Amino acid sequence: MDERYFILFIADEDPDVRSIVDRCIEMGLKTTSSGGTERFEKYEAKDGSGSSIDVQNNEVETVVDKIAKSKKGELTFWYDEPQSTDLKLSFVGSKSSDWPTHRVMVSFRTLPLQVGNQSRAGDYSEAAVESRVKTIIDVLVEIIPFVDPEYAYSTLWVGQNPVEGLQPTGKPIPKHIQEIGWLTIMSESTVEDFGGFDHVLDTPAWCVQRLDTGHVMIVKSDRPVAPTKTPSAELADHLIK
Amino acid sequence: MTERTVTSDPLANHSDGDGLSDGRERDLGTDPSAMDSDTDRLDDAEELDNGEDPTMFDVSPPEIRVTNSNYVNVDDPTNPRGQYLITAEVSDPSLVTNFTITVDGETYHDRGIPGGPTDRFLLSQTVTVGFGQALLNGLQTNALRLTVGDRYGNAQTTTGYTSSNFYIQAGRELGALETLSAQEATALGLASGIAKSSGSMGETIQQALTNPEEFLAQFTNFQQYITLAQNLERVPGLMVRQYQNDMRTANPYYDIRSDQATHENSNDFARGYYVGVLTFEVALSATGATAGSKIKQLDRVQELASQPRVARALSYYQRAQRVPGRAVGTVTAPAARTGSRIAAGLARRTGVDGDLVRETLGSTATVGRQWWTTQRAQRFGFDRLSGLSETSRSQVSRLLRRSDEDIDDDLRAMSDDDIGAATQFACGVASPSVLYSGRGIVRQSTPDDCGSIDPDAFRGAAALSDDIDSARYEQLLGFNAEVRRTVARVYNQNPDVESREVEKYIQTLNRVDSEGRQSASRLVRELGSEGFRVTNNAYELTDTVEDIGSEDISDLLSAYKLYSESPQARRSVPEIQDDLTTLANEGGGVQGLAKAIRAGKGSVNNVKGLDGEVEAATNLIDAGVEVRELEFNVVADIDGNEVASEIDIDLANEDTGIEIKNRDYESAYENMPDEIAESARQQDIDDLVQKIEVVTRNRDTYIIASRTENIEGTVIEEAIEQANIPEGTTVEVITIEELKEL
Repeated sequence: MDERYFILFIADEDPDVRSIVDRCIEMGLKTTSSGGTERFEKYEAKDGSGSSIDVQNNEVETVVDKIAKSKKGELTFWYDEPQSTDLKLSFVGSKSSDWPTHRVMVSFRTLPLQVGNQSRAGDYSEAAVESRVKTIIDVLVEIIPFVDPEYAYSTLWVGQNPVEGLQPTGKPIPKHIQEIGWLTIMSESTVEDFGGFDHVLDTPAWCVQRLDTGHVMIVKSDRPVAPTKTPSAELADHLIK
Repeated sequence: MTERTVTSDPLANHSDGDGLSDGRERDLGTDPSAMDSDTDRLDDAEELDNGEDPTMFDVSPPEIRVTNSNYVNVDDPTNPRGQYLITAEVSDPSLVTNFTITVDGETYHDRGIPGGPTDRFLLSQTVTVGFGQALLNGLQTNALRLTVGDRYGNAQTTTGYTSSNFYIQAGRELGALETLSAQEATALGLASGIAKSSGSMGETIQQALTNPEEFLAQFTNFQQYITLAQNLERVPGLMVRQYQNDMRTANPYYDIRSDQATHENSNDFARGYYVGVLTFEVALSATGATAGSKIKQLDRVQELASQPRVARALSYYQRAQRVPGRAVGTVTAPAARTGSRIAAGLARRTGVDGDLVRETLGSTATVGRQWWTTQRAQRFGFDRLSGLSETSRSQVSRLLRRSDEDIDDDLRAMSDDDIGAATQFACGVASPSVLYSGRGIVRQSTPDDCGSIDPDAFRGAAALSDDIDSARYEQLLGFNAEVRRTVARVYNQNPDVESREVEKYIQTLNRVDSEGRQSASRLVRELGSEGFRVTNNAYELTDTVEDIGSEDISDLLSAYKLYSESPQARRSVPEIQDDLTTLANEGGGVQGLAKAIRAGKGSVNNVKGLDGEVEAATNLIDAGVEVRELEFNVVADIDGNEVASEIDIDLANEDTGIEIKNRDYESAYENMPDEIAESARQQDIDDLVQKIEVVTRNRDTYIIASRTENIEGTVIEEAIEQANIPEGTTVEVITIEELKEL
């Protein structure tokens, strides 16, 4: 399966673009496919109306300035070999006052995250896949303080409406979603809506992590697609029923 | 009277030593040579002292002191030995010879004193009043009479008043009566009052059940009853005395013989009792002719109360069960609700807590179910029931309580062994128990494990025990209750299912992990017998697809379960499985199937990807096109970078790769928030551009098969325009349907 996987952040405020980019680079992500970090090989800055104002090859600092100013744009990082292991950060802040407002989307392709693909391009071993998933999760943990999401959900980008059932349609969130995706992040107050820390930390998932910011991150299984072990059927019941 | 000849020596002072001189005895006409002339076991002088005639045989009846009179074993309605226990001290100087026990006028025991006549006897007798009778009697206030006779035919009859109903009895068995709070005593009284009245006003309650709104609309006498409730102890008149008597008899805190309260809870009990009784009297009035005919209504109450209550109550509960569209378990709920609304009004005015009233009324449903169960058990046959093991008996009882009446014939037709097998299979082993809640309501409860027993599971279990291999049946017994009940239920509901299919299914359940087992069970619940086939065919993939093991099938079943329950599912699970079976068997098997199956794990969207791929591949095979591999990886140098991508379906001619797009790009973004749609659309285009560029460097023809007709001007078209496509290669866009025409 070679599809895109999205993690969508709902937050009250637009994020701190500069700090996020700095953290990604500190984490070892590259801004060019050749492994450099001095310029963004692929990016797209947009103006307030969403029209593209610049698209590629610019100094990191310049790109950050442009996106921080307009609050909109997309940055492509590379987090491993081969070139298809891209990680995209989209700043999508809307001026709409309707809840929920998505502020950031993080996306990546699923092809490099499946073990046992024919190794015609790069490494698809257990170790390589495990390391890639770890990198993605680590990056998410690092940027959470600068996004401060109220809630973040995730989905494989297939089908007519990939966010259906996952995107909250109102509050309290547990009453307004039908599914829990591969990765979920909750703020402290959202955790309360889900039954409180003790209950949420008891979720039968591959990984449940309480962060310094008070956020809780729940990861259902070791991989977003073709997991080693199918996530527990009780997981969704535990959180939303 | 018996004439006797007596002799005496008039000169002797006292021949017999009975304390009377012979002269005095001569005057009295007693036998001077016998201490007890009339042989009634009372000395002549003693009889004189008592003011009795020493020449007459004893005409005094025996004395009886009842020390206990109550029901026993009423907690289990299926207990065929429903018993009433009476203990009494009986005595008569001229020997007690026999006793008779009657309950509600019917004689249960008429026998001599065991061990022969005696002057003092501690009688302790359980009366087997027949299955259900104890239960029945528990709903009303009735009298047990004990008659004790002496050898001269003198008889004394005592009414062993029962103050028992279920709630009181249960409270007594739990030793709780003395510790109840005032509020709890009120609740106990309320339950007793309701139980008493509901046993005699079946038709009224039925009306409340079937049409509660109209029932309430007819409510005209409310104020009168409020007054009655408030002043009941003071209002003179026959009816009120009747109320008082009934209440006092029922009241465990009141001693009817000494006519006084024995516990401070007595008044609280009385208050609750009257509210309970009046709730139903009000109901009766509301359905009566006119508001002005109150006395007639009350007469009618009496009339009903005097009729045999078995028939009335049975009729009520049976008819109540037939209310269309109403589940068995909730049949009494409307009555409780209606009664609750009435009672709440009464409660406000009489100072009884409204919640308490409602809760108590709700618990009367239990009484109703017990009634119903009892009557059905009676039809099943108490003798047969008593012949079953204790577990089976208890479980049959639960089945009767929870099922429609149409199972009764089946039950009767089953052998005891089948019933044993089915109950073991379909139910747990724990017995019902009486619970005492914090609010003072005593109610019957059953273990959770029996919660979902139903007739289909019961019948199916009995049939499976005959139809399938015994080893498989044993395996099935090893699964949890829900899994095995589902198998039995679906087997019973689908007569066409072959037992072989079920055997295979059980075998599969045994091979997958517990998550897979639960999922397979949910599939069967969802899909019926089709679920057996899907599960079995899924497991066959372990034989036909290289590198697929039982763990993968566990995961696939879990994925199917997710998909079958999701509103976003595009096709049905059996359709997907049929395609997988086709692809697994096509020309020795399509490559990459294991990879595709694994990629489908974990979420609805993952399965959606698998769904689209296998449907398209099967369409191609149906069209005679040879499919070589699914999810085939390719790589190409793009602008000096090695980029990997994937061909969803690679054809055997190695010329053509096919990409499946499940999305209608014209409308896909409309439902998403703008900020997502904007960014997502661009990323969709970027990804497709990259894919086109990599694949067209590996295949001459790249077909993008879209699930939509809306291709022009969409993301796909834009991507083709933006992509750098090598000369001599083509990219075609068609619909998935058109794949069949390739």
